[in-house]
Amino acid sequence: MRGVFLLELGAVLLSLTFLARLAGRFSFSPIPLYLGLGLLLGEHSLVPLDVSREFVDLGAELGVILLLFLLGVEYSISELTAGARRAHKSGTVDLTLNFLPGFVVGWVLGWSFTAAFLLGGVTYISSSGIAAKLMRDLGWLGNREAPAVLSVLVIEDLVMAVYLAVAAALVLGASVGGAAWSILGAVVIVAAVLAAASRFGSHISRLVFTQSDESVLLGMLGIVLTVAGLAEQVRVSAAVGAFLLGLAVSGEAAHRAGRLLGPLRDLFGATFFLFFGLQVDPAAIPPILAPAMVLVVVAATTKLITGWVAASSFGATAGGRRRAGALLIARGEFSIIIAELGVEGGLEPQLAPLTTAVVVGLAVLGPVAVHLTGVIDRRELRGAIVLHGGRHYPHAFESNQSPRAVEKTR
Amino acid sequence: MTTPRDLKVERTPLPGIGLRLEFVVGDGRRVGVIHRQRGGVELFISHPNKPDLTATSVDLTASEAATLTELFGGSVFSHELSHLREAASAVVVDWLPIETGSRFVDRPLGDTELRTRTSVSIVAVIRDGTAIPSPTPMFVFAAGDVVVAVGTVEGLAAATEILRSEA
Repeated sequence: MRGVFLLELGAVLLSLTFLARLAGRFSFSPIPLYLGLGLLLGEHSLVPLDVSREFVDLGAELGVILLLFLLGVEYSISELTAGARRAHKSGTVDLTLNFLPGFVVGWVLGWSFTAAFLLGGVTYISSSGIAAKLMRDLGWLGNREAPAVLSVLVIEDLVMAVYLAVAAALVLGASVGGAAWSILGAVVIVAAVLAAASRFGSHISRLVFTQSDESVLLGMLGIVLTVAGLAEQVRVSAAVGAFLLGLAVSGEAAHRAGRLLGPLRDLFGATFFLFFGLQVDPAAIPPILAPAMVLVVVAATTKLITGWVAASSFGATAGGRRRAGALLIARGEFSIIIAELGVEGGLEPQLAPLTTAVVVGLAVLGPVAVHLTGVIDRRELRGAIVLHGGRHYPHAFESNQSPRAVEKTR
Repeated sequence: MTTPRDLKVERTPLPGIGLRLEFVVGDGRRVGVIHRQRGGVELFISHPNKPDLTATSVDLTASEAATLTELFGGSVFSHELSHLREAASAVVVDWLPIETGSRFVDRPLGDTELRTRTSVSIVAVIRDGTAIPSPTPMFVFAAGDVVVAVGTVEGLAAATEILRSEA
């Protein structure tokens, strides 16, 4: 029995590797592929996987916690507050335009308020992973619109800390009054931890980080899980606890945490997306395809508008606004985390399949749109170069030849 | 570093990535660098016809960036040197030993709080004949280390006292 388990696990990991490489090759996100593999291997599918459910379950939970923790590590408190101040207008546009599509579709489908609220979160939050990777790969960090895009992503992540707490309370809370209390508690805890983190962050960082890699890895993981567990105990959701702890870690410590825990996040993160796909019955997908397609189109358009608004407030011209919008289209990791809350709470059977379809659609459409704006840019540039070519750099062409000429004369 | 008055260097924080510094050169292109949180620098130049768009960018490691700076320094340095010498006359470099009895043996550099208390900066630590440049606050001292510090004469005197103090 043991051997079969290992064989299955090995086969799954190899498939994930293959998918990750495939995605990397075309600089696409592997997340839709992981979800797809999950769909293919789920209980209801043709080739059901019987790798111990508890094992995958635990891996998935660790994945969420590590994803959120390392997201927090990427940012410092000052960056968050500065980003929020600089781009609060585009942040508000972003929240309004992109939360509503999911929320309204959930409402039209006759879902409960909480389920619709979760679907709103799914369409709201862009994939900062996909956007940041595209910007790095394309060398767009020097572009005028880059800070606009990154500021919007920062605000989204900050909003998500509060949102996840609220959503977790809504999913758990039985009565409206009780939910209101847990929401208030969650908001207070988030604010308190943020305040404490900005004051004592450097102490926490120094305390943990004077040891060998091994002890830092174990200690760090221990602290992350403890805080996540505590947060879960007081009903703030483990993910939020991990995110806030990540914010508190800064400087050299953040560097080390990223280096040591990054590989674990990748392993368990992939497990999480696979796990989410496993829960979805492929037969549940066709009935929700119509609303999913509507959501993909609407939610892509609303992000284009958001990017346009955000980039213009940073003084970018039409090209930059277009690129900013396209970069924000992709949804990914965090949409799945939000939907998983509802699946755990047993809220709405259509939430998981609809989220899967929307995320797969937008995670593919986003990078395609980004590459398209690149094509438009190049086309415009070619037109421009014909007009001004040579005049702008007469010496550039000469200098191409001169080194050789110099060498010859020697 | 000083920049001529008509060149405005724009500082843009890139949350989660680092800090971007840039300015506009004569032909309208933006030229700048992105200092990454994870270390390393990206050098970029925008398109001449589309200043919003990066035309080319190159990732540099810390030592490559330092080399590039040196290459630039060649022409600028002699020019600026006379000003610098004047401005720097109040600033002194000193070598401060960590002796066996010092209470900072086996303790991290951050514990000395030298910069807060004396405005002295530690630029390197020499251990067993090799220099460790830009040690972080987490750097742990050993007996026999020599601290290379920059500061005012008064500040360095105070720093010497602090590093000498016994457990």
